[in-house]
Amino acid sequence: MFKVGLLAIFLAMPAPAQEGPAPWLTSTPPGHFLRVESLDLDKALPPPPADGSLAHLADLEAVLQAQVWRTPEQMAWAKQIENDTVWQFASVLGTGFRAEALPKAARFFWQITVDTHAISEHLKGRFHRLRPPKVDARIRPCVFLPPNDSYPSGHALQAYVRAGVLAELFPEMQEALFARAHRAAWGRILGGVHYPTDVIGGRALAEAILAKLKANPDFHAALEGCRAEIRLLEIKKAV
Amino acid sequence: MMRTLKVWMVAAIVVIGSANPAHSEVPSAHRFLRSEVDLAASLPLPPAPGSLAALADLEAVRQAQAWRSPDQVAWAKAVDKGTVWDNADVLGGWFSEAKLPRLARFFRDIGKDLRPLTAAAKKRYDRPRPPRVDARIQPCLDLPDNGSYPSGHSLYIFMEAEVLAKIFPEARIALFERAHRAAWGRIFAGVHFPSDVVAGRILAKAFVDEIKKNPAFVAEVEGCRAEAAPFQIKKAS
Repeated sequence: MFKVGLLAIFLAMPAPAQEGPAPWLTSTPPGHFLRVESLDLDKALPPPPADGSLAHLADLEAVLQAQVWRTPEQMAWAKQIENDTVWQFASVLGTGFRAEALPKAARFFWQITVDTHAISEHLKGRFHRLRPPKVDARIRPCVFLPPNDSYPSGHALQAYVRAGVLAELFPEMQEALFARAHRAAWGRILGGVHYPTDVIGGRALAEAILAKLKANPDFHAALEGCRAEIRLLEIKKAV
Repeated sequence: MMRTLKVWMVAAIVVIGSANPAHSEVPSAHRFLRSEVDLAASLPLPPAPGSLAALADLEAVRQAQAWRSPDQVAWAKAVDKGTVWDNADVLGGWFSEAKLPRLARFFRDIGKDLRPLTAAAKKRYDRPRPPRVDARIQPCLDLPDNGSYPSGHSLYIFMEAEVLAKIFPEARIALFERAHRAAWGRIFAGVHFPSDVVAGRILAKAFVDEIKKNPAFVAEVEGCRAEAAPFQIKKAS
């Protein structure tokens, strides 16, 4: 009964238009490049601030003030980021960066999303941190409030992992890719559904995940496939 | 050599200090504060450099800068030069120095108690300001050269909210909402971290909890309320 209810909530969650089914809707198990067990979880992610600590009060104040000062532009950004995908990095890489033109990359990023989603869900369950609106009723999110836990931010994790993987394919764009990841992750604060430390937790976890990925030969083989595909696209464009 | 220089600098400060009439007032003569506020007991340590909380603090300042609007720059500048009279936003146009001389003196006196505490707290924690931690942060105000923790502006802003809420309890919620918004101006400015602002709020509460034990403080609260009453009645009718 409970499971059916939970499934209904997940089905109600906006499914991002991305490279494959949303990670919570797919039957494909994670582990394409990485499993939860591959990480030293204690090292990869420190615990969130204790309730009522200085850091937690600062977290809460940042979310409250983001709401007080939230502009229509920021609200639109929060809504866009709610359904963030790797293809939104086209704002950095150019309009040629789209799923239809890059099927190998589409498959590759979908697999990474599934793997990393499993890790963030596992860690959320480990810390059970409540979302900001559950702690302070003055916080009214302008995006869907996910039913799962707050720490770490899955959206931040995805944004930073994608930026890190894309930086392997487009090293000259590294700075702009990460600047976009920072802005994307902050969209969750603007939305009122995450604390700043949730976003930093997602970033810390992304760094640990990227280090593991870069040590995996299968990951490098997949990257090579994507590079060939991108080169081909560039040649076509040049002709 | 360095030591000689320091001795001369101290001597120079003493000479300049004694020549300045403002400094000839005995700063330790507290008006309302009877026992010192215990900093170690009142304030937690700021986040350790590189910790999750310190990185979140920095990200909040960086993103405040990334999204900073002209309105927010103007707000940061207004807050920088702010006074207790800015609470007229909340209380009404009658809330002015011209109309309320007793209240004006009251806040000046409280300020004399608060100033040394602010200086001692900043010195004790000696936290570097955001632009000293990350060069990408460009403040839209002159960067003060004292410590970051706690925020002195936040300390004054929340002290004012605490005391004004005692004089005008019916406005408590609005006064505190304004204080939170004002203190956040220091984040927009790029001169403070969120935890500095929260620490200012915590220390302001500890300070007011201490001075309110003094019957002279309670008497002034009553006196200020009586002074303001005619204007408030006028507003209501």
